[in-house]
Amino acid sequence: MCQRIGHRHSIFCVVPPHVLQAVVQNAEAPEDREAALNTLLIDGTQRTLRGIRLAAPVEQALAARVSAFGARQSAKHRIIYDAHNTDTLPGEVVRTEGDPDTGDRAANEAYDGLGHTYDYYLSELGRNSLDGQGGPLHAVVHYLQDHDNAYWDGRYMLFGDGFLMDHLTELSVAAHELTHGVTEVEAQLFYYKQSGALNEHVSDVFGSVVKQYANGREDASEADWLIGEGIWRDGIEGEALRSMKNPGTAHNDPLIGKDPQPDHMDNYYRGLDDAGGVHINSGIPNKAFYLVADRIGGFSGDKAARIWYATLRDERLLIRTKFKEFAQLTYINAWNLFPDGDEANIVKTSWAEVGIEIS
Amino acid sequence: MRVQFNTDGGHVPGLRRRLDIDTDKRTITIGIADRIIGTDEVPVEESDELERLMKGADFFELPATSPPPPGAADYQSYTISATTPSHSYEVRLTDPIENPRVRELVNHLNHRWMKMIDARLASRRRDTS
Repeated sequence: MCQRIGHRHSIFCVVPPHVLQAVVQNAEAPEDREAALNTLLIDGTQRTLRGIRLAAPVEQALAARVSAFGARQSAKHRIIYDAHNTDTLPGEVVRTEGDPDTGDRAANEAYDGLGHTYDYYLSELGRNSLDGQGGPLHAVVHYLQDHDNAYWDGRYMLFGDGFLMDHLTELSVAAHELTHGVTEVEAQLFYYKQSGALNEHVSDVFGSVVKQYANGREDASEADWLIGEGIWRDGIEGEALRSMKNPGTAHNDPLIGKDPQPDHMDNYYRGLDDAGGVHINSGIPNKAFYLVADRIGGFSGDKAARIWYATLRDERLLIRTKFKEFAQLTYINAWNLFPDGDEANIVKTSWAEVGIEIS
Repeated sequence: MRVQFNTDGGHVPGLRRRLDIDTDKRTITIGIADRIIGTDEVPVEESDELERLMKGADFFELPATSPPPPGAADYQSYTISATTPSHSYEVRLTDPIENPRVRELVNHLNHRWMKMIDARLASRRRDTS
């Protein structure tokens, strides 16, 4: 109950509601009225439970505040930090919601990437931020020196500047990282072997679909289906980190090797590297999703991504779910969402094409 | 002392950095995944610097593993092993590394790897231009 919106006034933590009402109505200092009103707002649930009635003018002022608070809660709230090439987290705040361009490409791309991702989830899926509660989105740019990675640490998205890579703040990568936050809230898919590959797969699905959304709700047949397009520095042979349309073809360079993703269960990776192949075997469900989206046609966010989002939120999806169980759930959710169409059959045949049979 | 450094994790499974330094023989070998990219001599100052960083990080007293934060994904992990006539020890670390001395050691090893790779890339660019 001592949590405060805006101005902090600790004495109000223990002040009963009737005294707070008197402060709202009679205090001379505006900041005292403001703090008392905010405390009444925070204390609202308990007050309702206790059946305490407020004086009419205070109730009206409170209603207005509740409305404003609600509006703030359903709005984007992006915070971009600059770690200045160190590991000090989260670093210096360089851009917050509504601030102008900072002149720094990484900070601006991260800000825009968070914005597109937030907008997609809210407008297409009705989800208000990662937590579904309008929580803030945090991203750290210039993390470490020449760091070849972008990752989700459970709180922040962290973007390195890259050494063999460049442009790690590319939209599909940013949306991929944010989606790890959604997955953590909805399913906690265990980050190892098949459940880990599904965790990666879900991030690739929404990484790509958010990019297609930002490109004007692009048709599936027009999309590039690449994760991290143009991420490699000059001199490295590769067009992206991964390809959902053609897994295993995103890069092939003497220095960094060939993209190891399979597109069929026949080539499933059984080793222990990469947490049991979380970025390797994700190529198999990635290919299945691409086939579903391409065969349904139109913007993949209209149907295919809705089927996958319903699956992610399905209570039958467990932390150690395997490919076959996940595929089965996509089939069930396709039936539930589109009972009169051909979508469920498309889902079934697409999974079969990558070697996963749905019963 | 022989120090071996390996990375794994991150978005690209094939991009596992390997570094093998022998401060007594003053040799260094670098690789990516299972491929050896090159070998070099290590100046005595660099050997001394690495031994100083290992000592500063209190390497032989570090916990053997540090798990990733809950819910984390796409993080990189680092395995460092050190062998001396009297000790042999291996440590597995995961980003974010919060101990500044350990971070300094990992940064040093990473930059040594990048320095040699940079030279290979520059040579490749010359060959193709």
